[in-house]
Amino acid sequence: MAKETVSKNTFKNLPPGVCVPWEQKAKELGEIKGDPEIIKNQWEQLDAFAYMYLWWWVQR
Amino acid sequence: MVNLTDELSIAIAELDGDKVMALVKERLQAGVKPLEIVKKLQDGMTRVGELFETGEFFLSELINCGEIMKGAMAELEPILAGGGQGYRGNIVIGTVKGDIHDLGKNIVVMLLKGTGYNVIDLGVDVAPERFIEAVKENNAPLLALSVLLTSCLDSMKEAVTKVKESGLDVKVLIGGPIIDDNFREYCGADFSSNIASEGVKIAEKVFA
Amino acid sequence: MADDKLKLYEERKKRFLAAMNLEKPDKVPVRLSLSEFVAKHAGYTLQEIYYDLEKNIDSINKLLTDFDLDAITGAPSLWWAGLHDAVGAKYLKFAGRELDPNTQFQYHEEAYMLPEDYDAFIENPTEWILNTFLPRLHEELSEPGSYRANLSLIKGAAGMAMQQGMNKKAWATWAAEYGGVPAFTAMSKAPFDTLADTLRGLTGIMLDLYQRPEKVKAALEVLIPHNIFYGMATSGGEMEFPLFMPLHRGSFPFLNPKQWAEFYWPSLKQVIEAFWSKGKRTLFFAEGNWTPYLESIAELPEKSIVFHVDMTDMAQAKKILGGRFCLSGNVPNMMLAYGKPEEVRDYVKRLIDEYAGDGGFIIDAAAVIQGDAREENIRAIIETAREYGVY
Ligand code: B12
Repeated sequence: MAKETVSKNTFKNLPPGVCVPWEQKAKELGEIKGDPEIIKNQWEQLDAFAYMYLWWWVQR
Repeated sequence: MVNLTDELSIAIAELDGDKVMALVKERLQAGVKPLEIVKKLQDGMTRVGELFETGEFFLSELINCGEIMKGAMAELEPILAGGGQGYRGNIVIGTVKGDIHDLGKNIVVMLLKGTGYNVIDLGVDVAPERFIEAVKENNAPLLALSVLLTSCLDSMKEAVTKVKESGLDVKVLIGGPIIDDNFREYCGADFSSNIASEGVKIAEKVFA
Repeated sequence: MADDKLKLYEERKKRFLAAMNLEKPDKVPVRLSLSEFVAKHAGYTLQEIYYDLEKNIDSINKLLTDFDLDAITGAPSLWWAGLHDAVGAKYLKFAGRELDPNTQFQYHEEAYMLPEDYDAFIENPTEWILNTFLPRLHEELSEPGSYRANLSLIKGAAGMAMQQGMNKKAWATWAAEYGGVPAFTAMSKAPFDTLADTLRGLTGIMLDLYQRPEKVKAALEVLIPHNIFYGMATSGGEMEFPLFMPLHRGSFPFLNPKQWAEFYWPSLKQVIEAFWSKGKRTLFFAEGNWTPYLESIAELPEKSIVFHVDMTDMAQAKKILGGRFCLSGNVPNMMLAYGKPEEVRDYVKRLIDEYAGDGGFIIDAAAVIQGDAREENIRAIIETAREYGVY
């Protein structure tokens, strides 16, 4: 088996569908000049896609 | 049903892994012959097999028992003089080519080992040629095949046919949940069953 | 959509939905869980359907042209072998590469999750999957951060999107051009199966039940919302057709009754109830024998599942679940492969006589139909249901 060590998690207790929560990203982005909802929406969609990819390998 | 009196046999039948390991070590230190210890372990395992057949035990208990046995055998095998001796005979077993289901087969292996046979387990997805080789190498009077997928029934037939054609003096037992007498005839096998413990009874006949 | 095909689609859909709602349709619906048989019928090798998405999809066009089915389970191969090669996925072997071009794919089960992984998994399973699980499962990702590893993530994710996009288009075509109705439109698993199938493996989970039962329970608890989310996400908002749930390790005789009641059932029940509360029904694809658990299954909300009978005692299932849930099944696969059409006909007639009388019944094989099934036997199922299954 390639990797025996368990890596440490960056996040804890995230809800399903989330890899990197928008709240975290929003903090890193700082000031948002336009409508944050638009940005949040797109962030969450792609984040959920990544989530589905990861779980796709488990749910089979 | 066997009546267990030995502490080690009872410990394995009760799936008490810690106790089994402690007793094995204790007895080895006290100078008990490894083969005798194996015998006690086998008695316990046979009981577990019986409890499975009567519906009191489930696969979870069987697998747990199998792992405890593995742990105990890892202690014992290095000191078992030359292996081989003390066995009632050699049996080759495997799941046929194309099929990778092995839980049922593993139960049969466990029961056969428990009754004292030397079982050569070839695993899953086994080609006919490998069965033939193993029977030859081990001079085994009995070959047992397992299958679960209906789509691999022809693969089972092929294995039986090739073994028979090879001219080896070996009886063939086929088993699995979908196996019946009709199919035994179709395959040209000597025995068939869909119950693991039947496998032991058939072995008794072959080795009688 | 051509008018006649649209009409056919609506007719079949109505029939299929009526049965699942415990009503009497015009005829007993036929839904066949066809896999490798479809490839054989279309004249493709298994390597072709595992590796070539277009052939995998095209084989259904041929199926729908030749057979009158009320619902179909989709392209015969769930997996795209090319994508598995791109990431180096270890747990499946495919025809044409490791195996002869016309053999069934094979699983290589292993404990890709180790006992010491439980804590990290429970804390954040998603992150654990990417950091620890995938590098073990995917050869190409074995050195995270390397060129090959990064590529495998790009190819894997792109591959999933490509495969899903093609399947989506295919379903639209099957509906429009052939009146093909989906047997299900989403997928999820029992939390215990998620843990036991791909993560811990069978031996691993069985030992965990004795050695670390509390960790198992905590992991199951964590999985519940993920399995609910996964099901709803794969449904893509489609709510009329059921969600497919293949059930593995809960059949008899895997777990003892106490373990079943403690580890298997509570989390599964929660997942199914959550789907139902959102309006999504579950196709409870009970592989193997579930007879000892029927009383518990009857606790689920009325109509929330379709109970599929493989080796479960059909008479018991009818007695305990009938009138509560639609039942489906259970023409033996052995008969489809080695029996004669007359036997199949008699079996289907008997199913209809004994179980379909008051509606709420769907004809299917017991298990997934592989390449060994004979065409005349498949025809015999359909013809008998059409002639004899009129209400
Ligand atoms: C566990 C399982 C798996 C596991 C296997 C794990 C493993 N290490 O074995 C995994 C997930 C890997 C798997 C894979 C697949 N499986 Co599977 N699997 C099952 C399942 C759920 C249980 C089988 C089992 O182990 N039963 C418990 C054991 C103890 O029982 P048993 O094997 O019958 O053994 C008893 C007797 O038969 C007898 N016995 C067995 N062998 C022998 C031999 C001798 C000599 C004797 C005397 C007695 C004997 O002794 C045992 C105890 O009494 C069954 C459904 C079911 N519940 O039966 C499907 C099932 C067998 N699988 C099926 C299928 C289709 C597959 C797959 C093709 C993929 C898929 N579409 O699901 C792949 C096959 C890949 C391949 N090439 O083989 C189908 C087969 C359908 C058919 N047409 O034949 C079934 C029936 C499920 C279904 N309803 O669709 N599977």
